[in-house]
Amino acid sequence: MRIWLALLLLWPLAAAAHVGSPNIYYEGSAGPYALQVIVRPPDVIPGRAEISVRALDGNVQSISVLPARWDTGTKGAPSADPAKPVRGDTNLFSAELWLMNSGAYNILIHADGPAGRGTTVVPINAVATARRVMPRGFGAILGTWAGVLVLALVCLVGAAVRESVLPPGEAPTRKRTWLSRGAMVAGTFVIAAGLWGGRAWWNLVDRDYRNNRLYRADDLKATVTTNAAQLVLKLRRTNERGSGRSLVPEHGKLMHAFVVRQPALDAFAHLHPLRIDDQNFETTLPPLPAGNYKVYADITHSSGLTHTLVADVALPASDATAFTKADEDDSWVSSSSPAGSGAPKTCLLPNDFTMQQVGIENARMQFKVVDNDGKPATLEPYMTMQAHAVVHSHDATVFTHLHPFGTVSMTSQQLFAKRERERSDKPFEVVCGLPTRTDLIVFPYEFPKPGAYRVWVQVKINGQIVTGFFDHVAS
Amino acid sequence: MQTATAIPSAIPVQTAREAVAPWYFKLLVFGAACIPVGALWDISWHTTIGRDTFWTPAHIVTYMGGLIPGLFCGWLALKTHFWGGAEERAAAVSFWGFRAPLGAWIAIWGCFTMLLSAPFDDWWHNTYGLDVEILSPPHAVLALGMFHVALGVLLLMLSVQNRSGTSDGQLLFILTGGIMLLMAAVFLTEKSFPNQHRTAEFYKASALTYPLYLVTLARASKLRWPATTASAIYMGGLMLMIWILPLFSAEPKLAPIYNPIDRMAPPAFPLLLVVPALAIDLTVRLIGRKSGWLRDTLLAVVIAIAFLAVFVPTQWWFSKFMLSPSADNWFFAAGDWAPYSSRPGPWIMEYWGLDPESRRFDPLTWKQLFRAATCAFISARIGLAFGAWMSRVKR
Repeated sequence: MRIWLALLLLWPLAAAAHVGSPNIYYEGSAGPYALQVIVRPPDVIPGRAEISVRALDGNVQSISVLPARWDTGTKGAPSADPAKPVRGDTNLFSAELWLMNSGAYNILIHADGPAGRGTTVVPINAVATARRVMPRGFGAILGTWAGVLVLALVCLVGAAVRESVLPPGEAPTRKRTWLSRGAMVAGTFVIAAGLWGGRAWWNLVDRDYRNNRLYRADDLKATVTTNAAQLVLKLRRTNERGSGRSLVPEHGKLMHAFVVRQPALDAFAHLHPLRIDDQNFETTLPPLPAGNYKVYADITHSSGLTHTLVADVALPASDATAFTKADEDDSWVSSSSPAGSGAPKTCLLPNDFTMQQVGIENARMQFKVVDNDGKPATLEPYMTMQAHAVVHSHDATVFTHLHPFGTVSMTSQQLFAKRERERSDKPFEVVCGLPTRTDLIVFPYEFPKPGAYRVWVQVKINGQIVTGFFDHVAS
Repeated sequence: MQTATAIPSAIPVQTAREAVAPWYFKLLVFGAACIPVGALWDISWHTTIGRDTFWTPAHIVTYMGGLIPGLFCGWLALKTHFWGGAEERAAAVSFWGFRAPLGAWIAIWGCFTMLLSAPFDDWWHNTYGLDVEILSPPHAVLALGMFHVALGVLLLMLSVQNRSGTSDGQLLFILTGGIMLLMAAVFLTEKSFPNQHRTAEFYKASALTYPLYLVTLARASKLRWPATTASAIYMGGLMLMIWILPLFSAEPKLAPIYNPIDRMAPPAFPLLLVVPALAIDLTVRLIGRKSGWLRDTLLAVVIAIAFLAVFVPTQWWFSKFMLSPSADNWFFAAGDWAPYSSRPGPWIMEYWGLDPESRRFDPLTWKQLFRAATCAFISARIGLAFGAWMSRVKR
């Protein structure tokens, strides 16, 4: 039981913009070069982020990386660190960067090659998410070591009182021997008091870490009411830490809310609640089956820091006959299992198209949408993206919302570029949008842990938003 | 009645000539000096460059400070116990069945404590993040180890001096005392910036720390002005670091950089400890030669009052100078301690803790001054007792 508790404590509590999926995936262009970037952010701050950069078109000679905090940008950044080529792989580079403060950082990736230099930006959240306990074996070693030292110190006090002031060769008297024993007892009390003080100090640091430094997403409370025969989802967020920064829209919406029925994951909606005020949001609910749902609400602060707020809500059986979308980009699907089967895995879409899972490997999930003749469908931008995907583990410990360029926030990237232009008065552009290849949907992603997952993929075809979904067991 | 021990009863007491400071004392003092030098270098490294590994030169120098005396004292202990002559074994204390000088045992203990702090600190970084502060539990363990390494070296020298009855090696002894004072000052760095010299916390922390060292040295040393000399060594060491470190170019390697430093940042200017140390030396010379429980208790009251009566006005007014443009030069390096991660602003040259609206409002009031005096009394009383014992240490 204790081992499980320790493992639970070791597991990241949350990963800010996602739940249980701390790594950042990005795929896009750095000038003339196509790169795939994976950032493994530290789970304590200050800490080291591990960065892997793969040159997808094989003509990059060197990669350098540097961290820039949102408020200081490259003006407050150190010189770039060269990433080391990974032995045995000609296109893979790796580097480590220290992130010193909590908040929104941007990792600048410089790629150099025959076509000159290209730069891209990968926004990440630098937040402490780990709550560690000392491993029992390590604690035992340290404790034994400290215990021996304490014992030795008590004995040294005794030796000091017993013999240190005697001229060489003179044996300690009985009185002095008893005096040294008394000193050892007194020393034990003094050392015990010191250890008690040290423990109190440690507890103080630990409490400060838990209360003030450990990342905790805003609380989210979800309720369902009925208004004019429609179910309305009301979301209220409370910001205990009081960051106070305003929200900014992420691809056009202040909040992306994902409503997922638990535990079967057989009903899913991607909604965009309207802001009533800084704390309250609401939206109409599509016709979803009654049951217990989890609500995941993605928001982005003006600093570029992204959060996923989580709430539970029970949806009643609705006899609503009418449903009016609160937002034209709202979409949902309700089905227990993908309609198609076999290899490749397929999912029949409502408009006679079929979504195929091409493959999930090498940090990529690949899908395609074809019509009845097997021809690739023409995908229209859905909220400026080629596609949206949501990954949810069956045990509800992992939730990620991502796009073909990865799990990063496009808004954070654009905000950083804008601030850079303002700070340096020089052009600074980052392109993050529709991929060049239209017949394949590629999401850079790796499942964070083994287990069963459901992946929903949303695209827009002929003006209609359709959602395919697949089950995947990560090993 | 004497207890039975393994010590031969007819061991002749060493003569003055035999007790002359051995050659390795200089090596031990060098090792002890590595500790504050490495620590100050490391603080400058974190202030300027930020990024580090376990193997930075500053860390290596710091740990050398533990390893040199620790290993040497380990060798000394083995040599004394297994291959030492009767005289050597007679001038040793017994510890877990082994015989070696007390100072050697204490230095070895300090070395192992320093080593214990390394994995503890590493775990701490992985659990709570890299601590960019001096005062943290693993650093306290490290400081405890450092203190005992230096104390061990000090006691080794003292035992030789006290046996010889001469002042041979007194300079090395007081040099080690100055090094220990410097180590204590480094540990109090975060409470001792000139900006804090009108806060109660600074005076309480100083009163609890410095009289202990100064009074101990004043009582244990045979020099004429031991506390003053040790204070001068502390000040000189720190000033050398202030002048030397900025000679080296360096740049921050971590973001965010609010203060673009281009050379190694120096520590803040030392406290003018020579002034209260002079008062302590005078007090001990005038009325502190004899000892006794009541006499020492009364003497501690006098020393506490003398220390604060001199220390408070000295730092009170000197800090005003340190926060003025007159101190903004290479000699005093006012404000140059500011790290790359701090936003430049007037706060660097202002007093802290004096704004009633601030959460850290902590002015030096009469009540706080009384508390500081109590701290100074406790510190001085322990120092007198410790110094009296040290003046008699022979093994």
